[in-house]
Amino acid sequence: MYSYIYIDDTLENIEEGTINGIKHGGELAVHFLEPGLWEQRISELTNIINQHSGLIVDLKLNERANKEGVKAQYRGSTVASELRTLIKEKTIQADIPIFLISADEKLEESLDKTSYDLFDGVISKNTLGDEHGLTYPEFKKLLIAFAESYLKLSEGKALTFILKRDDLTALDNRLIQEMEKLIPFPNHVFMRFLNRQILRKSTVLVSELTLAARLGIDKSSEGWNSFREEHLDPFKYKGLLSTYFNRWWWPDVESWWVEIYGEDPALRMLGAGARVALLKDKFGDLKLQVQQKSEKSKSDKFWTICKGRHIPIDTIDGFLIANQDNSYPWQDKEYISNDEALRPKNIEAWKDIATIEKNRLQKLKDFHGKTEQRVRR
Amino acid sequence: MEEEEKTPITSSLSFSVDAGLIDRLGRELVGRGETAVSELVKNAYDADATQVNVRFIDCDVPGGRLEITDNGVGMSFDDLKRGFMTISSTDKLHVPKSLRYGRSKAGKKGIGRFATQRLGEKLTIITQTAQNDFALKLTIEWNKYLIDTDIALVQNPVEQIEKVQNEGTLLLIEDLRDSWSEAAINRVYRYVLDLLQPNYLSDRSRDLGLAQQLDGSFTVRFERILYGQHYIVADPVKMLNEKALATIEGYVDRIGDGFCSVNSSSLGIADDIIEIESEAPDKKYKYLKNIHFKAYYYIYNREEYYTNISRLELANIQKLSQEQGGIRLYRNGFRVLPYGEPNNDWLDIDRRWGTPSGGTNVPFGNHSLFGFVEVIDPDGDFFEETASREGLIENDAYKELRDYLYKSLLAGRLRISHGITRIRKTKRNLYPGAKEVLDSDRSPLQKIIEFKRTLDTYVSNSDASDDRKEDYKKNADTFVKELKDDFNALIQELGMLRVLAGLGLTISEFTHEVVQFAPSMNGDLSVIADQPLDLAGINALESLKRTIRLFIAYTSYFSSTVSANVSRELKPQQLDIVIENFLKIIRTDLVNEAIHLKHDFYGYELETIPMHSSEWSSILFNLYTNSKKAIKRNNLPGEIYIVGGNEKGNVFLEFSDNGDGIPEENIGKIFDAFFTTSSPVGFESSEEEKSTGTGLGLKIVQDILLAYGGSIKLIQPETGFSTCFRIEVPALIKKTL
Repeated sequence: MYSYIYIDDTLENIEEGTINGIKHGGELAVHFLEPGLWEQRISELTNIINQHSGLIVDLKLNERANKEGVKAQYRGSTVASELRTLIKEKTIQADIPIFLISADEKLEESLDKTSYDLFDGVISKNTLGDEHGLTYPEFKKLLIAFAESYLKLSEGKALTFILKRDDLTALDNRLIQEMEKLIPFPNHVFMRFLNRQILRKSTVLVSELTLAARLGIDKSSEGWNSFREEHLDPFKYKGLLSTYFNRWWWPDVESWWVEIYGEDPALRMLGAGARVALLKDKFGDLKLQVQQKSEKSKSDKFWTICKGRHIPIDTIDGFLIANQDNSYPWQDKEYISNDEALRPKNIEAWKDIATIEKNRLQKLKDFHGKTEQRVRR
Repeated sequence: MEEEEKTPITSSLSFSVDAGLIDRLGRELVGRGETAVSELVKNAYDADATQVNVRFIDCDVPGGRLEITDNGVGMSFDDLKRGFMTISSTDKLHVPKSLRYGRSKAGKKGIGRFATQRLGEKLTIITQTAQNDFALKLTIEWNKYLIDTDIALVQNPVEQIEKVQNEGTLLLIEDLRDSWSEAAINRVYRYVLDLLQPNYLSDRSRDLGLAQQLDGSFTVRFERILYGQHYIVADPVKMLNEKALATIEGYVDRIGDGFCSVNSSSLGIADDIIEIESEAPDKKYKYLKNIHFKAYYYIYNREEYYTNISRLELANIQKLSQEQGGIRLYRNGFRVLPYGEPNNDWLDIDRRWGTPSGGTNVPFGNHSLFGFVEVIDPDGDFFEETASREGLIENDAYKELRDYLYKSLLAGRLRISHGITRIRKTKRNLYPGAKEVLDSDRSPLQKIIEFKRTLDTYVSNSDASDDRKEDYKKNADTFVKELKDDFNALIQELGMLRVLAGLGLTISEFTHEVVQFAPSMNGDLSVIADQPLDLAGINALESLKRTIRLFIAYTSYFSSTVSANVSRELKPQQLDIVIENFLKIIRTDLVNEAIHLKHDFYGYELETIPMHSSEWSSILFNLYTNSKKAIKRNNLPGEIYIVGGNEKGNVFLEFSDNGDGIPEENIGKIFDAFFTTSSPVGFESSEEEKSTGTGLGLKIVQDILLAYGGSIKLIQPETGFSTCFRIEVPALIKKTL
């Protein structure tokens, strides 16, 4: 059983419900601490932390006095920073996952990058347990996956072990090099890279939505799960954090396709209908529906997922999202669909489109703006 | 017959011109109607007119009539024949200056007749000269100039008629080809402004009798006549005179003493005389005599400094200042170029004062001044024009002129600076908070009473009859009473706003605390959901879940509004995004209230001018709350319909519901402070009702919108709805790349 320390300065024990939610099911234990005096708290943490698998800490610890009447003068990020330093100095033996939890809106924007990098994840109290946010079962999965993966990483550092993959030759060499470069650093540095730069992006590992889209299949099709289990799950990622992130090795899926259908025509060049037709030719009618394109898209040669609406799009229909100049070469660029660019429904997820796309969007707006006429009834 | 169809062979050939050429030339030489009208005005100028009247009659649709009357020298039969009727005449080349006033001719060579052709299908010219005792009337129907017609064969009748005025020309253009909107007429008026010499002449020069001899002033009056109604197109120069923040005026007299004065009613600067001294030991100007100047001064984007100007007017004047700003020089009534042209900084105004220094910001540059200097020197004793006729020779008199003007403007600027500092102090005292206003809340009332007393005394001592005196006093009483009422209403509103502001702070504190409860409640819910429950337990859990979800939806709405308030920055707000975000927040509430909400957007340029994001929260939440109440009263399945779009430079929002509607007698009152349809709240009412029944909701919405030049009004709802509010806010104007 994994166990997390949870530090918060809550009122009247209202943390109880949160703890109940995490402990429910019996896979996780929680050890609750109030902030208290800095020296006391840090020395206690240093002593006990390796009896636990990780830490959850609230950002604002300095708002209320604890039961002894002591009001903390530090923040959650201060605690995390101190612990990470102690880990680097080896005062604390094993590195652990640390999650920040906070009721502040737009937390990620207000937290500076150095502080942000101390954490494995930032959890918003506004959406924790919400059906549209992070549900408790998902939250537990996340905590367990990190606890487990930190532990594994301290057991072995070979990439084949970390990724649970024997053949690394099919992967981009630059990705391999970057990972090897990071292995000597403390575990949280490597975990941060794996989590944020590989698993949360579209890379050699793709999400289920991307996987289905690239095969032209509507993921909600009746036959999708059984088809995936039988033919695609052999390529599923089984390395660190794979209990939380469902990902598939795209180079392997592509080889599988080429083996069956040859290199020409390339999968990328086929429309969704043609892709599914080929699958049906080979495997029979599997109750797979062809993924339909969105209203204002032109192409159904789906390759990526709109960051705003989570619908499959071909990159030619997409608008490049801003601030991707420093992305790694093995990361797929992120796009939003025509529909989202014209009528943003979820702008928080993508903020802005790249400058070079602005002119094109303007033209598209002009074009569609002219064709739409309002008639009052 | 056959003979006639064949052209006999001759020994030489000359060019002949097809009549269709007229039409082509007209279209190619005069592209736009505006240019055509301004060319005709220029022709009047060239004919030494001092007054031109331009009348657009029933021009809102094509086919209207345009009359241009001038009091210039007019045309004789020869002038008509050799000038107007001869295409490409060289008259303007041979005589570049006008005969009477020696004006540099402004019209382009030979454009006039094509301008008339461009404008309308039929032209009538009635022209008369002082020498002749009759007038000539020429009628041209341009439609006769068809392709494949010899130009010489088209005959245009000329007749002698009685004079309608001593001299001058009337152009009557009928069957206009274009329609002329008010905006188009304003545009062409501005276009001809370049020609206008200021109608202003100093009293002094008039007294000296100098200006009369050489009165070169040229006035253009534009009139729009629609269904017999006359509308005078505003004279911007006149507007300038009336609206200026301050006027700086001064003169150097016959013996070389310089004076200037500043006047501003807005800034409370009285008209006292400042002496301007030269560098000479006796402080007199040696060469500079009989100079008069006047400059109208503006500060743009600060309409609060003025008492009588709207933001729009000020913006228009600012636009005008790009072309017309600066101090122009008139010698013996004529403009001397390049002084006061755009980019001509002959008094070093921009160079000296262009960059703001510390302290009170008194922008001072050519763009903030509209000025005229009048030099009266009929015999050229002191000022000489350069050989190239571009400017004056920089002799001693010219140097003195610059010295005098520089010092006068400097003195003027200082006065204005004092005035502004004073006014800003007063304004600053007004805003820092309600406290000061309330501390001194008796004093404005006292002031009104004192004012009333003074007025009464003044009236009592006046020459008016006793009856009139009573009337005056009664009127004053009424006004004072109204002022008091207005003032008390404002105080009351301010008090309510203070209460609401306090409430806002409390809510923000409360929200921050309550948000912390959400994960805890959700945690326990997730545990309970996995317990074996009987039917009653399952039902209770479902109900609990729904309530908690609603509770969280509300708190997160307030929480995001509060966090949006942390940043005070104004940003363009994209209406579709604003509405999508709002809908996400009220999603759960809609389910609970059983309201069906539909929304449509039209157009993709839905960005407003920079606003505060929480202002849109206020607007939408107010409208939504009102709709909810109206729907509840109506007791039918609720429908709300939101439409967003872009129309005529505005972003609009229409918010409709199928509630019980607004009774006609209340329509005029809904935007008033404290008007509410909610009955007074009692102890039994819900918290929601208590906080929403203040009667300030729509007033606040309206205040927000008015502050941005927007509007809110009730409009005819679409079928199936009973109330529809339409909001308009100016759209963001995108800079083109």
